[in-house]
Amino acid sequence: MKNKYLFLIIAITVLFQSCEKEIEFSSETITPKLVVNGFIHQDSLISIVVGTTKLIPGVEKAFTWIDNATVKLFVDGIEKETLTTYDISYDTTNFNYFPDTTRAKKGYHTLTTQAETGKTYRLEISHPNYKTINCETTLPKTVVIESIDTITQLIDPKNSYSGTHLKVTLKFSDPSNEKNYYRLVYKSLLGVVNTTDTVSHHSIIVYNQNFGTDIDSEDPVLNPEQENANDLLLGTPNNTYNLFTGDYIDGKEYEMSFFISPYYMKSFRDIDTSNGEFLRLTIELQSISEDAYLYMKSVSASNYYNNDLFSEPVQVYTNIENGTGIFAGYSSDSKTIQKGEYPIAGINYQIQNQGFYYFYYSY
Amino acid sequence: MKKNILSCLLILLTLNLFGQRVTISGYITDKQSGERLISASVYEKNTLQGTTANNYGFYSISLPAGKRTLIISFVGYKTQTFELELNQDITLNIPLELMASELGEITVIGNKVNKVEETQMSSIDVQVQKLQKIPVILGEADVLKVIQLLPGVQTGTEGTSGIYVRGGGPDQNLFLLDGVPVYNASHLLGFFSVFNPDAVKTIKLYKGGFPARFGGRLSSVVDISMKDGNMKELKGNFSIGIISSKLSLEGPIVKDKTSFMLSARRTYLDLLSKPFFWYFNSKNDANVNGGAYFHDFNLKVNHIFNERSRLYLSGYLGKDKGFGYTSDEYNYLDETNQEAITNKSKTDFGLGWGNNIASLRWNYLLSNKLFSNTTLTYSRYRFQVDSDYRYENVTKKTKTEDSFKYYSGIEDWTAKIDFDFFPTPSHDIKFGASYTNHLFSPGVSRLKFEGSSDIVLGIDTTFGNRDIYANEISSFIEDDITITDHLKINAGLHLSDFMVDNETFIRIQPRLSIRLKATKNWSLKASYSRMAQHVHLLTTSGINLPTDLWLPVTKKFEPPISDQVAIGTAINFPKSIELTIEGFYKTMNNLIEYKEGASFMGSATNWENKVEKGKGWSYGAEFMLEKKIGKTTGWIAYTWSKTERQFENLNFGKPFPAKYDRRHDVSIVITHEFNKKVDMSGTWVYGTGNAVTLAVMKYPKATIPYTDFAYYSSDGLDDYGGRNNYRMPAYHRLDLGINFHKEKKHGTRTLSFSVYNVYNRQNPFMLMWGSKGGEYAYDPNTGQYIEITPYKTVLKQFSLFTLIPSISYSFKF
Repeated sequence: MKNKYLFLIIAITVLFQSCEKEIEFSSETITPKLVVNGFIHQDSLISIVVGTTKLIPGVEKAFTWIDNATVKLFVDGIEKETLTTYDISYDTTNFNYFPDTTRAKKGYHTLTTQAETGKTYRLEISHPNYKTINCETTLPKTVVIESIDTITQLIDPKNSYSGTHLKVTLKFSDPSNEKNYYRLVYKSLLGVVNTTDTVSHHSIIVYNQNFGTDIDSEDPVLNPEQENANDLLLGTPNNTYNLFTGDYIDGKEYEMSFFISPYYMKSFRDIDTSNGEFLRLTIELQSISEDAYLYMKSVSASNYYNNDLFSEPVQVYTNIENGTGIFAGYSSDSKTIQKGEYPIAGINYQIQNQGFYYFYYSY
Repeated sequence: MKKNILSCLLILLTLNLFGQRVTISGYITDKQSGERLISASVYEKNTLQGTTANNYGFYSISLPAGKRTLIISFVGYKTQTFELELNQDITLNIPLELMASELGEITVIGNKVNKVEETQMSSIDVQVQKLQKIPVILGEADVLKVIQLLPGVQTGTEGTSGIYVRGGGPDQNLFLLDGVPVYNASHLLGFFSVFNPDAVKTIKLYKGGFPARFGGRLSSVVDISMKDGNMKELKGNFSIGIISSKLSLEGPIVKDKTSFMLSARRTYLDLLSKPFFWYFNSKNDANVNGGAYFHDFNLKVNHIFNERSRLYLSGYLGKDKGFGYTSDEYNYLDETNQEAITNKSKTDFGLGWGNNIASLRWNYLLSNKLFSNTTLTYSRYRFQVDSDYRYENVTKKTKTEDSFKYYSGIEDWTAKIDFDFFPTPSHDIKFGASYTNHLFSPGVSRLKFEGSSDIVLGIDTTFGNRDIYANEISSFIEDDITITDHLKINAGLHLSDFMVDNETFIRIQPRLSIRLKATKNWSLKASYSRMAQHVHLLTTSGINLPTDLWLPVTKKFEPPISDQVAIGTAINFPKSIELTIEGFYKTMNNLIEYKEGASFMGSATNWENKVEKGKGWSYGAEFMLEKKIGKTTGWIAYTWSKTERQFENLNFGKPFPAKYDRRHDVSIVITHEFNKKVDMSGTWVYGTGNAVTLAVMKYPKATIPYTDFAYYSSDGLDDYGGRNNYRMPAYHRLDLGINFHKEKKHGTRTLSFSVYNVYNRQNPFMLMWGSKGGEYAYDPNTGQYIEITPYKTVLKQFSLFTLIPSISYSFKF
């Protein structure tokens, strides 16, 4: 009888043992590479940061940043200037929960050259310990927002994002006979009554926020993927960066509609202008380079799929020859709508530069 | 003049004017069941001329008149010898009797041909009866899982039945069930194949040297024929296993005239999962349920009108179903906090897929040298997803319903006619033509919103991809020519013409196989074959998902073409031991792979923008030592191979290993009969680790304006260093099975025990980065936590199936 129990115990132990174990990683053929990261914008100095790749296994280490590389800039094939290093400063007031060691202390920037649309910028970066790397991007031309219309609309209450949304309709014309890539973002400056101000009852907290995400839309251009079988079975990545192409609207005028959710922002309808509350909303249409589009799209896809059993991992796009990272550009046009007045004389404003949407980290 | 010479040659070919010749023809059958035996050998002792029975057991041989000794043999059956005085054409139907094994037990070996004799190379006949004895996961015998144990065949994900032949992809295998293509050969995401072993008569795998009668896929043909049904008496078999049960019946409707075969099986994972849901629901106060199962039926009826004419009707119906539902009821106060609101919601989800296959085949003997076969076939694969969400505000009496349906599939109607022509013993000519109408339905969705709520609009819309019709005409001719007793060739041509969307793709596919017999027991072989494929499979993953879509070729993505050369040798040793060694080199063009960052995910919309065109190549050597009869039977197979792909826009244009590229593959399969009552079998497999795309380095992510922190980069992005850049540890396992047979009053009872992965090897299924360490202890002196072990990132391997015992019961009558 005892033997029977022993057999049973052994059988159960073997059957339900953990199917996970640590194995040795073979790193013989792997050599570190230089990393270049930089998005350039029209009428701005060109700036990048340079770092290196690090092996994944082992004790967690911060990234190594390189501040002694030689970075040469070529504009339309002609050498223009050598980038110089500069100290990157951070406003740690709101972000002090992220350690400083994770960020580059120094970057490289041009002293005179500002990015212009239609021009091609190439960087040649050399360092004695690494292969010389090259990267190139062309700054796309600005696509102008022709008009913007807004209405408030109540969304289906069974939807988890239910409530009053601001529906924005944006009109623009896609340049014909060229491949165009876009991104939609918005910035908000929101002033709401400071309910903790029990003294004056008149102060307004101003939240200064940039939103790269958080747009809800069923527009076929913004969300061209149709709902299909695998969407239901496995899901698909969100359009995290609000990217779209001009493929379906080549050369045409187009009206794009999307909702801005009140989930992260006081409802447009609920702003009490009589108390000094206000909302200033700036919608920005970015015309991005193909590199930028592929990079952002693959970052989003890789975050979604890379831990997915069913999918081949997505390698993030890079246009850095002999290295990795991204060197890409964008130009932009924007339109602003406002409810309420800002600033109003006599009101005490307390500004909180949130700078980005921090409630939910995008990847 | 030229015309006359041609006429004379034709007469010579057909009449063979080297003396008067007479033709002996007929059918070779199993004496007990009346089942026709494929590839049985017919040989004349004095003239040393011979032939083999075709796929319908028909043979025809023309011999010089006079006294002749005809020897009919088939492995596993008693050889029969006929002394004949030939002076006119005769019909000789030959029933062969099963050979009793040394232990007195009847051992059926299945169709087996002499590897040294036949021109065909790179093909393997799977012994159906042995298949039942080979231990497999959960004790469920499976045709494709046995094929996975053959040289030149790589497996996909562990436990699944996907096959990768000589560097080809999962879409490059043509599965034929009674001559009808099967588009999705998987049940339960690939854990079972659709071919029920109880219904199968013969299985033949072609990896190269393809005869001209086959076409349509680049890498392999798995030709499976269903049992015709016993013409003599009613026979049956039923079995009960851990996750499925099966029942098979076969017998005469009119003795020796009409017979039937019926086989059915069903899995019961849905029933087995019920207790788990019950436990979950009781613990979590939830109402969730779900499950998955499949069932399938094979049916075949055949009728012999007369010696010349026979009709077969065969069909397969298979259905997989997965389902789930949740329901919920909750209450809340309304916005004014005045009224309690009651809401009910219910979600139903279901998916189903399956193949329907039918064929109507008419064998007609036009003359004793010309056998015809006219066939009408139908093949349909369909996949469907339904999702339904119902929401009811009981208090306010409002209802909304969202429903979504999606279906995709492919449907073929085919008419074909083919002939076997035996003009002389030196020629076995096969020719024929077929027409297929394809209907591709690459994903149509129906979305419906209905509601009484004031904010929901009624929507009922259908969207997706249009149906695509395509027509395919193909024809072939092949001749198995005996040039001398030592030299035989099989030369053929397959011509295909595929028409879709006003485009026509004509592909000429030459085939050639040569056999040089050095001695009675040793031959050398070589072959060349070109294959073309007119369909692409859009698939996202390594496992068989029912959402995988078949689509026709397009102008941009033309038919993939493969060219394969192979050389090899076959040697017969005493005691029925055969050795085959082959080397191959194969190139493949117009292959498709997904663009990096692109995903298909069940939609064919703009699929051409999401894939890249490239090429691949594979080369290797295969070795197989097989013992076919005796107390101990089995094989040892070894494959060395290398498979790469190259796409201009993938992996920076550099070649990369294909997903199932493996340098070494070994399988050892042994079955041993101790006595009439007990037999045992074992399988050991070894394979080089799969190539996987594993992140090896990290690098800082760029600051994406408006979204990320300025230069924030604590985590970073993964750098892979290339597609399929990393090798998993090697795969190996041992499976053992033992069968106990007992004669009962009405039949034989078999109790089978098997253990999968006996030594409990944790084989790699997936690699993933994990962590260890990072332990801290509180130091009361300083009041701080001190790190005891540093936090480290380590590579972790996940395994799927460790030791799994199983049991099944079957009864054969």
